[in-house]
Amino acid sequence: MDEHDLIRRSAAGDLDAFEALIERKQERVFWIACHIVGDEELARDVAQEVFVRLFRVIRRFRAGGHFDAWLHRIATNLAIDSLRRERPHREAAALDAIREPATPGEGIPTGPGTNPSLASSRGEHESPAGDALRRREVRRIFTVLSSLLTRKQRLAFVLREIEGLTTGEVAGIMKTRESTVRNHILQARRILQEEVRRRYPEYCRPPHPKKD
Amino acid sequence: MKEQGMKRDACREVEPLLSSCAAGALDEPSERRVLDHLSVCAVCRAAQMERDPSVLFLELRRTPLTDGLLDGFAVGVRRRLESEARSRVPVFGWITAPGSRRLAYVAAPLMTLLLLGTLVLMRPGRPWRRGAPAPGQGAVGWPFVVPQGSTRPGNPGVQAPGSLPLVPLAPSTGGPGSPPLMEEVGSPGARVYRFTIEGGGDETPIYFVVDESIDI
Repeated sequence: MDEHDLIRRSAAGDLDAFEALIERKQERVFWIACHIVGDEELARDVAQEVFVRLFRVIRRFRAGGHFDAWLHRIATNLAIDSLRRERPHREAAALDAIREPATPGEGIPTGPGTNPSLASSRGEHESPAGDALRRREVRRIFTVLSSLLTRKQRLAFVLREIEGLTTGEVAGIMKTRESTVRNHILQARRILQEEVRRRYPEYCRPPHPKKD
Repeated sequence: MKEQGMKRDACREVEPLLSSCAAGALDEPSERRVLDHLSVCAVCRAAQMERDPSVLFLELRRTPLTDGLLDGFAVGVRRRLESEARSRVPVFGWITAPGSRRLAYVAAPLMTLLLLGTLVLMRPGRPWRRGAPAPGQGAVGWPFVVPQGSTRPGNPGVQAPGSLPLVPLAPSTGGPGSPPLMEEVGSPGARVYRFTIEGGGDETPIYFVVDESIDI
């Protein structure tokens, strides 16, 4: 059954069709929420809320519209709401992580808890467990550093750079102009570049030359 | 081998664009091509990290889900929707409810109205609450003569209170056996009636004080 049929039947209250629609969309919605709120469990709750909300309003969806953009807008809005509710606690935690003292003996402050071996491994020819560990580390770094971005910068960066949406799609979700989205992304990149260089320099070193 | 060869081709294709991409100087399609490649090619990403460390986060683009994280997710959402639908009672649902429940839906507002009505009718200040007759009802015979033009002190031109039954004026004979004269001489807080019997040699006035604020 194609997506349009699932949407049409879901709008008529068919829960089987809606369940199938959730199966198709859950992963993307989950990751959007996860990259915005920075926590898997919270992102799962947000994703559930997104689909409950979607079922309530799916009748309003006009055939021919961009369903994914509509769904992603619901997801980003609810994730931002959730972030706003959790903000005092999470931002304080992120700032505490940044404020932790640098490793003694090193001239440049590094990010807390960074594993140099993870930084030196570039994900190439790594074991799946090593890959997962490294991704978790990168996600932790993003959660810490993205708290330095404004909400719009974070949203634009997550949707375009991490989720891979086009600037036009991101502009549609954020209800703003494409030039504004590009501007948010440039600013976000600058901040992240600077902070990764300053706090996690081990990630910026050139890869070791391979020995043949 | 073939796959590695294709990857190298892709790397060669993207390589000249990397520095422009880091400077944000590429048009959208080219930039998209570079970022898509960097998200899957660890070697190019590592090389680009020196110029633009923010590409580190492209690694998150292809993050696989933690095992079991979304297991049963769709079923959970469905159950929640079903449970919400069950708990939502339609506005006119009582029409189709079983007899006893329907009776309760009708009886509850009626009882409330009855209770409120009783409270309103029996509120303090209503004369019949204290057993006094309602205006125009239950009047007893009035044995007195009210002088014409009798008014309440302090309220010139206002007739004696309507709660007093009006009796036809009869000319007082002034003789023994004639009805006593009554006139209202009350104060602002209470009604005071003075009765006098003319004739018979006894002109001692009798005062009758009516204070509605006293609830017996």
